[in-house]
Amino acid sequence: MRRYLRVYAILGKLSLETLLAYRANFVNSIVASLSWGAFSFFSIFLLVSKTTNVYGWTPTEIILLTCGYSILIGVFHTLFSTNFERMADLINWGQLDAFLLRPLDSQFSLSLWWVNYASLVRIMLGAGLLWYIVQRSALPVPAFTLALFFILVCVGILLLYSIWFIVATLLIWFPRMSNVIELLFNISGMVRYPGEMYQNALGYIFFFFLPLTLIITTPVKILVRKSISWEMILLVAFAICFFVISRLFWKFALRYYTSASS
Amino acid sequence: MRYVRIFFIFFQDAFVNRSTSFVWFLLALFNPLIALLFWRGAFQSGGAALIGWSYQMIASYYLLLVVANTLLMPHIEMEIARRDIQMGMLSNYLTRPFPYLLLKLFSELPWRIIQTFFAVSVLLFITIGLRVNVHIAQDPFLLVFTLVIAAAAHLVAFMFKMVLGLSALWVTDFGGLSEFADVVIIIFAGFVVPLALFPQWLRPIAEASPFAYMIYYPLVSLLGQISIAGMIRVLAGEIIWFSVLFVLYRVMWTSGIKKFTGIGQ
Repeated sequence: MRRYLRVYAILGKLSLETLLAYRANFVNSIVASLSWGAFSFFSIFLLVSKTTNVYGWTPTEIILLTCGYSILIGVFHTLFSTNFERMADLINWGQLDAFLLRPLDSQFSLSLWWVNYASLVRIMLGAGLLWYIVQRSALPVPAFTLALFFILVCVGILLLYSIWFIVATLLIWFPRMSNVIELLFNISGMVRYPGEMYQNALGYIFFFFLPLTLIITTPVKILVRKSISWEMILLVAFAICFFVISRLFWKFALRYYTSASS
Repeated sequence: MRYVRIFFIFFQDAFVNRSTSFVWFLLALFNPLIALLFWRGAFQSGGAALIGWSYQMIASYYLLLVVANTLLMPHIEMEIARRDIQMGMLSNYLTRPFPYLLLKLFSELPWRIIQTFFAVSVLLFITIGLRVNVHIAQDPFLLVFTLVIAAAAHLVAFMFKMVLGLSALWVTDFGGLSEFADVVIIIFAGFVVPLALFPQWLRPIAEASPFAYMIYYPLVSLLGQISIAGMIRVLAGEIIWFSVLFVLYRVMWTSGIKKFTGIGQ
């Protein structure tokens, strides 16, 4: 474990050095990150500006949901998503071998190689707006609730990571579908809407989406309604199960990796 | 005739990669369906106040948006920026006896057709299989005029994406610019909500932007929400935006090609 932490610290330092070497690229990435951050708020603002209530959620609560999403997805993009994009290309072009030969766990090196510091702005944007809304609406948030919120956001990130990794692992069999990572970016966007939206509309199909719907809805519910619900237990259970499945599935999939590109 | 052959060669390529097309189609399908679910909840709880827009009209808008997106919105900018300019592949096109612009147009069309096939299949399943009533204009003349507007919309979107792609001749990292453009298109082309539901201060800007002419206007024409006079105005707007973008493309091409080294970036 200590060895992996040391390796990760070196990788983080290398990413920072790359960032300082290519400053224009960094500014560009910040522009992109800010654009998507602003988009998620602006699109929600457009949707809620004509409504007073959606599945029991008020416009302010939905905006709080977007703040939570912004923090969660900011952390996720900082740590993982660049690596998933790279993983798709590596599998598509048959270049995974170099990673498999390293004296490191392949899931670790594929998931955490690059740190995308530009996405930190999304965390700041989300946290800033969350703080502003909580202050403005005089919402009492005790320290325990706030701590629980951040713990559940971390659990949500673990669940989201596991889902991405399971889907990305499918590329071992279908390398041409490398654009599935783009689809994952889109699917991740659905977590910023109230979970009840999918529950009411999708019927049995909802059960496929249930883990996704819990990712940010649950921490935000804790924040605004202060209830420790069954959803919290379900979120933790899903996160652990999906993480174990992602590891087992990856080890199974590697048996079918041919080293040839698509 | 040679462009027909070029089209079929590119069609074979796109058809071989139909699984890639299917994933792109899913991307086009996903967001409108989520927006539709959102409005469903808003209407059910009686919390939506949309002047002139019934739930059926909103549902039709988002379902037809899937088809409009797959058919009208090209995605050539990444290929132009990354493959042609940053990896230096543009050199291959410069030696060929075809204009780069037309080659790109014909290489992109098969992808639009295959993705639209998936979108229309899903739309037919929803309308016939699930018996969801999709509202479209009834007058055949309006429908024919909508086709003309849609064709012009594709050309406006195509020219915009060509200009966007060529900007890689001046910037080393195209990603930020491309993603910023994506965000602007998603908002101002009417992917989030119809432009008619925008706040009053933003609506005139959105309606005058070239992005509205790419998706929103063809869509509301198909829904029968624009009169003949309005459609003529839309067509005139499309011609103006196409001309502006075409001139911009020519200027960028002429000056940018002098900067192009052929060895990548």
